[in-house]
Amino acid sequence: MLRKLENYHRPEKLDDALRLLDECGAGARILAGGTAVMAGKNNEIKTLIDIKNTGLDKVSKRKNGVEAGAAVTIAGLLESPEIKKYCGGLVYEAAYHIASTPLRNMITLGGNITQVFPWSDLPAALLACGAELTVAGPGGVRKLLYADAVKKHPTQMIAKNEIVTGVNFPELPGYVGKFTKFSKTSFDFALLDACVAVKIKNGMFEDARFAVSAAGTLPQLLNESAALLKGVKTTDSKAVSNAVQKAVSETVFTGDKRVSVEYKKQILPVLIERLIDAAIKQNEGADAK
Amino acid sequence: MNKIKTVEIKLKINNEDKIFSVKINDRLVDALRANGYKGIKKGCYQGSCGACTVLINGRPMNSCMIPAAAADGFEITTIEGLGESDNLHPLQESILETGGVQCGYCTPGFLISSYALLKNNPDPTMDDIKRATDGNLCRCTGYVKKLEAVERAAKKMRGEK
Repeated sequence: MLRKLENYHRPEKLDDALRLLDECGAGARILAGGTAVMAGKNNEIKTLIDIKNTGLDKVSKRKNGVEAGAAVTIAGLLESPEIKKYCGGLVYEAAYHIASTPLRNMITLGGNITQVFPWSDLPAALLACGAELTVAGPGGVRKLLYADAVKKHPTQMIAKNEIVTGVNFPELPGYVGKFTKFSKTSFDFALLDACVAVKIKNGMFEDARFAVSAAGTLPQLLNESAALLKGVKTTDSKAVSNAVQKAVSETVFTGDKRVSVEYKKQILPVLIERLIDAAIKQNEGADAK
Repeated sequence: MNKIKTVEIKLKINNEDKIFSVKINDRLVDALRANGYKGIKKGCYQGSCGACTVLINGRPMNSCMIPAAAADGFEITTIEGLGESDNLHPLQESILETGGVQCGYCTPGFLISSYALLKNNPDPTMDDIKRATDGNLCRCTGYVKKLEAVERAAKKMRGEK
């Protein structure tokens, strides 16, 4: 338990946090909510740099979507009217299913999506909506598409002296997003998380995105299967079924002591099909208004 | 082995200003217990069981998941801040009346989570109560009597019978 910890800093400015991170080197670690540091391997940490006072705890509407700071807690996301409205509630639903009430008051957006813990339910939602990370480092600020950040483990895609400062959820006019977590209890880790975001016009899928997490070791965007829905009528159950089956063959699965690959393969098509149905219904409801 | 550094943290606990000297690698739960707040229980040390739940700046959190050094400046409410043995809080009264306590280990954390709920939502549904206390595991009661206790306390606090 933090056996080698020697220093704790709580800078008021992001620049100071970046400078400390750069200066303190390999033994330094960013602290925001605390759960990633306390639950993870922490015996090599010498310096904690607490970013909770650096102003990264806001959610705001921007021209090109919704911007959320990396230190916004899951509770903060759930309390944001912008997140509740965004993409038919896609990100809200994913946040709603994370862990427990005390933990939702602690876990931050940045920690949940970069550490990709078993209790991280947000990654699939970020993939489905095409979210982009803002990453600050000594050389300035860069943007990193979340789909690129999870090609390896995100901690390998972000340098040791960089800090993820926020997430941009891009404007997705006309899209409806649905999320589901399959788990034994509300508080349990997901056995499977699935997301669908679709744009439907005149009874036809104009665009579709599928994403899963907890299926394998990293969250996955299922581009090939989702592409099969484009141009398909929402009533064409055979074409929908084809896309759903393709999602199973496209997904890389790993099993563990809690759930086997075979079980996940049975569950995934059911979840995706249900999500598509729910998205169609929600879209019909929106059209009727 | 290197000597572990100590740091000073200022807290407001149950409306009293406190200054503690803590080891830099202490968890908040341990720092609070070492300074007399024994109502807080040590459980899983993983944020899973909720025995260590306290209110921090008005919100329930797992004090085992917070480095004590990072708690400097926090306003904390522990179970000791809810009521006295001769002047119980309605939640404490109600959990005794419904028989929602068996071994009692989870009770302080459960009541703190319930207290946070009732402060913001005086008339919760049963689903609201379940959601608010979803981080407080109980291995004895089967939850029914505890959840009834929160409903009962809410009624008392609203002045209903």
